[in-house]
Amino acid sequence: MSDEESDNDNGLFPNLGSTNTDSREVRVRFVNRCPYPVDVFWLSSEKKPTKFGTLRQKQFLDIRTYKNHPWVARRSFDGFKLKLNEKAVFWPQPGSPNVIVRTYCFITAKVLSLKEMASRSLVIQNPAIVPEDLSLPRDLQFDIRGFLDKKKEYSEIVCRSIPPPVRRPPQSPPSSQ
Amino acid sequence: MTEPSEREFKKLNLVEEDKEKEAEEEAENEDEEEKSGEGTSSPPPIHYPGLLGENSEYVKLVSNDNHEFVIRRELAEISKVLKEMLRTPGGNGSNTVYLHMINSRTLSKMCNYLSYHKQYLKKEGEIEPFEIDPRDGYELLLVAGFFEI
Repeated sequence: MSDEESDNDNGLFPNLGSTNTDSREVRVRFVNRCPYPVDVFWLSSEKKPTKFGTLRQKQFLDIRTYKNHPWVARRSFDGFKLKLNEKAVFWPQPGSPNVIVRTYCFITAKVLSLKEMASRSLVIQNPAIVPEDLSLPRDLQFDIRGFLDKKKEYSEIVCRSIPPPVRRPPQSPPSSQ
Repeated sequence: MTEPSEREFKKLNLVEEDKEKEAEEEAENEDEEEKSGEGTSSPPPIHYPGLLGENSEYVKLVSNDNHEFVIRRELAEISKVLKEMLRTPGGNGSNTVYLHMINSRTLSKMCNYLSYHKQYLKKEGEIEPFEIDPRDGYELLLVAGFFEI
């Protein structure tokens, strides 16, 4: 199954995980080219997403990763799937071992249907919306309900996401006098 | 007193014939004006040559408040429902679809979306956001659901 197929199912995140078969370090800069905040996730070996940061429009995030470590990006508001260098999943590729090069990964949006955009507009306007109370056809009510459920699920995943380890500078030993 | 020559007679006859013709033409013009209505204040209707024919380049969408939107056929056919409406079995020679359930504001936004969809669907890289006014969300959702776009 290709990355596109695995990320196109109904799940919020693809069924992919990191493997430690290659220890070559890859330096990546994620750049947000969407007009809204996005979350950047690394998929662990247990196939669980770990949020590495939230980028506002035109912000970037520098990380060090490894080959065979997949990364994905989602819109912060509702977990909408975004593209990384025109693909659903970003796989870092090491360059020449003698040259340190930072790979750029641009996060961009896909074209949504008018139905999806209008649904999101309604929810943004009224976050406590109840689709069943709206005078809408059944299928549209079902779509909005599905969207609200995914948004809630995404929020829970982000809350559960274990933050990455924070690198602290080594503490200098106290000098004895 | 000299009698006029034949040539002079012919000249006189031609002038009289011209005058008669002018009088007839003026009478015809007056009849046309009377038929068209009082005065000449109404502008002639605009005819888009691209709207004619079975596979015309353009089609016309008319809202419930009689606003007409002429868009490219390839944009309209992004919606399968619109495509079927344009290709009715009886033939839609005028390539016009009357949308009595949609107002001009919503239809205008829908046409903007069709153009946006065509422009950005296969474009790589950063795309412009499609802004939706919160007041239009409900109507656009209904329209999008009906036309499956």
